[in-house]
Amino acid sequence: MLSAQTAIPHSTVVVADRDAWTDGRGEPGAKDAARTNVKRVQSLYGALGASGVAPRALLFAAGTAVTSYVYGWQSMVCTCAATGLSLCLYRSAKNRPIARQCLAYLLFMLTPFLTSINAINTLTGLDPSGAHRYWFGITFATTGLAVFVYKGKLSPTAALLDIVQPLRLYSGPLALPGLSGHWVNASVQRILYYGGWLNLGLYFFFGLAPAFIPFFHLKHSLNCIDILAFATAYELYVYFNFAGISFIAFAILRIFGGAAILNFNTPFVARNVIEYWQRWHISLSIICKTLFFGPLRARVGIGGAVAVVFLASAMWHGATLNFLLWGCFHAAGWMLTYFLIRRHAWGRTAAFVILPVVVIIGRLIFSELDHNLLLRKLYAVITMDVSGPLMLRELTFSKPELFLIGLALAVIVGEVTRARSFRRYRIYRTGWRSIVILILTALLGAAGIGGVYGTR
Amino acid sequence: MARAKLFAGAAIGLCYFLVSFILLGHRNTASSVIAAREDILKRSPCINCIIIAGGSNSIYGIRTGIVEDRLGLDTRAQGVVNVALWNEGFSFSSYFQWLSHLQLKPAVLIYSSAGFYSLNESALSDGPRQQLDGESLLSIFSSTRLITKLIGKDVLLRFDDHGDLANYRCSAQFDPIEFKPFDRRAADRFIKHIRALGGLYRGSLVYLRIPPAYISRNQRSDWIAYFGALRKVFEEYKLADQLLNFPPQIIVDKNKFCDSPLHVRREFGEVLSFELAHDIKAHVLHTIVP
Repeated sequence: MLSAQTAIPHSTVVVADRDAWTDGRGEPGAKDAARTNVKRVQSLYGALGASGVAPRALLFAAGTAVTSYVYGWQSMVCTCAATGLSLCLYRSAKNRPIARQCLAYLLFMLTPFLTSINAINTLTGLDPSGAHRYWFGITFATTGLAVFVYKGKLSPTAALLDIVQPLRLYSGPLALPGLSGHWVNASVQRILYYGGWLNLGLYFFFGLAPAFIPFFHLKHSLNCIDILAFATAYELYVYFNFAGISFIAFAILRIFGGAAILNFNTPFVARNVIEYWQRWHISLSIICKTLFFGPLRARVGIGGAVAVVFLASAMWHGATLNFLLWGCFHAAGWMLTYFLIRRHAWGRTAAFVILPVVVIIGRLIFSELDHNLLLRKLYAVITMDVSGPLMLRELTFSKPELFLIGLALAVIVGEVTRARSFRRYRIYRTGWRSIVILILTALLGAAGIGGVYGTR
Repeated sequence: MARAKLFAGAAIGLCYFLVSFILLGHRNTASSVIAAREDILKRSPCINCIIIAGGSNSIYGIRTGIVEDRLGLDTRAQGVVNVALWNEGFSFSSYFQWLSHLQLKPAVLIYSSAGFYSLNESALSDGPRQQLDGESLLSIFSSTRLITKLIGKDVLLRFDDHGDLANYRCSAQFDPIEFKPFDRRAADRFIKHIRALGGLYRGSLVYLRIPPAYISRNQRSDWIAYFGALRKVFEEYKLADQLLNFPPQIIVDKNKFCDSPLHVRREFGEVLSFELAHDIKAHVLHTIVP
């Protein structure tokens, strides 16, 4: 067990290692921490505190209590049981790599299986629930467990304090092996630094995302303009909602010494589909890369590996026809981009042109579970059919909603133009601008309809 | 500088909580309905009355004044009381708890719920627990923006002396009710709720009303098959006789609806109230009126 004296300098090293995973700046206060009064840390948390177990355990207990209060005491029963079972199976398969890998894939595939038997709902992003009470957070838990099992790094501490950490199960960044959080003393700078991320998360999740809800009325329209307007607005809604909730979880986990990576990194900075996926839901991308892309690339080539990654990701969202189509569509978009960039001088320009098409049509496929309706919508888009009634004209917005949509578009424009101050959302996190963001969130924030990933 | 920012942030957070939760409190459409219901029941307690329970479909679609007139009830002794809440109190358990606190003694209970349209697999999943007014148990933001509350622009429902909706604010911004295939488990769960209501008002007659809904023309046949399956399950449970209106009205004309596929316009609500009175006469009146 680490003592406080050894753990604090060690944590500084770890911080440097994980810069690539996090926000690239390292933890503020890490240097301060090395200088801080070690005795004070010891007296407060003892050896456990220094290694980050005590604050993370505290966070786990608080998260479980809140989840039980909000979702009922049964909420995490099956998730915790699945974690316990995974731990036991992992122990028995630990020294047999093939058995371990099989277990990892089984864990990953538990989500599509549970979706197919209706134990958890298929993801639509429009439904605040998603899992039956006993299966709360099962998708996020088993995916985290899968990658830890695959890497042979599962331990009871990692399982409980990192993977099944309730904050992650509310659509936070998935747990990844190789990251380790350490308690480096709660300095003002540290709280301020991650407070900036928390503030940004609140602004995105409660401020900007709910402003796009009126566009959901366009979901049933078959007019091409309505369909494209809905898909675009829905893409922005998912971005602000999911990025927001991820930043909130990221900030709280990091304040309490947990290990977490940034799940979103200005995705609209991307100039092609490949870059886009490097910046969107980063934790899931890393897991799919670890479980599928890495092992398959040498055997089936890059095309096959990418196809499997997107199909696995599609099944993770729901074992339905629209997600199958979504996976194939994005895999094709990814491969086309790869081909264009490598083979042609004008490839980068062409890849930039197809990016919005892949993103928006991809989101349209993502949003529609009814495959008959989806095919009609896709046909309307391909034929540019505007003969149906235009519902966009009937939408009404309140003044705060219009103002918030303007602010949201400012974020997108800042990202697309690659403005320097928008790198890692610095403009919203630093200086007195963060106070302005906080005031805006307090005045204009609304509960909305919950997280897009619900409680899966 | 850093400390100043931290304190400024904390001060803003504190002010937000003070204003939002203590000074203004939860104020939304659902809370205005609860307040109106409790106010009416305080003025005229329900003894041997007809109560209409359920969701917002009954708030928009039933005019208790018309029902009383058509039934020819002596309202001093026996009235019709609408205890329907917005989105049925956001969960059956909250609604049931609220009803049990009201201590009503009805002769007849008519349960008119949108739940008849959502007997599908989605009904089996659980969202977060909510309060009776729809606010989350542990949310830092309310469904209504603070600025809207501060400038008094939040539109609340108003009710007349009968407890009927007085201000219908309609808009065309709504879609047909979403069709999802009938699920037996969801129906079993729903029937448990109906039985719980029956248990709450022992000795009262319990009847079920399927409210009219705006559906997509393309899904008409799907809905007909859905209600066929529903009827079979209700027959199995020996509840089919308690259905006041079967087959229900599934309507493809959007103009009859106000702002959602279950909220009808005032004029259509009046027609529905006449029909409800007729159904009550046909099914139950002889048992409660000498």
